Amino acid sequence: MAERARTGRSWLATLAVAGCLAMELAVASAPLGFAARVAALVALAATAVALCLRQALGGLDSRALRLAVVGPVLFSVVLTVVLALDACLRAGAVLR
Amino acid sequence: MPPGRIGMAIFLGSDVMGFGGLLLAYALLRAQAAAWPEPALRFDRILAAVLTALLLASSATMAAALGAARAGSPAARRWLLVTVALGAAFVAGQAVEFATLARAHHLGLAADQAASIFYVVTGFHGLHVLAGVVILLAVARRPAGEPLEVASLYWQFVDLVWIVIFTVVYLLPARPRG
Repeated sequence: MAERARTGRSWLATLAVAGCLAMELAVASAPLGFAARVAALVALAATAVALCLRQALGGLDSRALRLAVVGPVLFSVVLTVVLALDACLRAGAVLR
Repeated sequence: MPPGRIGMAIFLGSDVMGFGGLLLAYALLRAQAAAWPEPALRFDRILAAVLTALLLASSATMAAALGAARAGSPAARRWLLVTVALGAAFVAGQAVEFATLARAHHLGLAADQAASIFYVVTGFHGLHVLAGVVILLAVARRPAGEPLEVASLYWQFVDLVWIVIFTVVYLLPARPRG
């Protein structure tokens, strides 16, 4: 019964993500300014990613397991951003 | 803590760095280019939206397979095979998109920077989907327990990455010049 409820929630989450992406498609071709379109697209994509992440982590049994999965991924995201910033700064210094 | 899921988490962490590096390269190329082609004019957004829908549907069927397997239902294999079919359809659709761009629009890998980075980013993701299809086919022989849990984690990750790629590559408008 609990699994059936979980699967139902998963279908709902997928529908919500599909809704976000459909809105993205509408925004992408809407007669809006560049900044407004980019802001709307980023906000909708972030919502879709958050929903997707929630769905993926919802399939894991315990809080510890979720942390074990999110930890390395989050660490990698932070490390990638730091390395990219470092590369940009070095490239800027070389160009100057 | 199940070792398979820990191993997959570490793999996904390293994979995030791979995709992160590629997306950063895409962002840098796009920011520094004197002119960047408008995605709406270059790509078939309808096809890309259909491919996205296939991948989203496969995410739901994967969750259904996991739920059925946990409940001990034989429907798990059926859901898993539907997921495999959706994943294979995505890969086939991407191959059609690449072939159309290269042949009909003369946009090969070396046409320009935008085309090069497009093929690298979406091709890298397509290889992940292809690997996922092979993994799911292997798991489908006995869809239960740790292998299915780990495969599900991988598949959800691949779907999640596509949402970012779809937004960044196909939808973000080119900055107006002047």
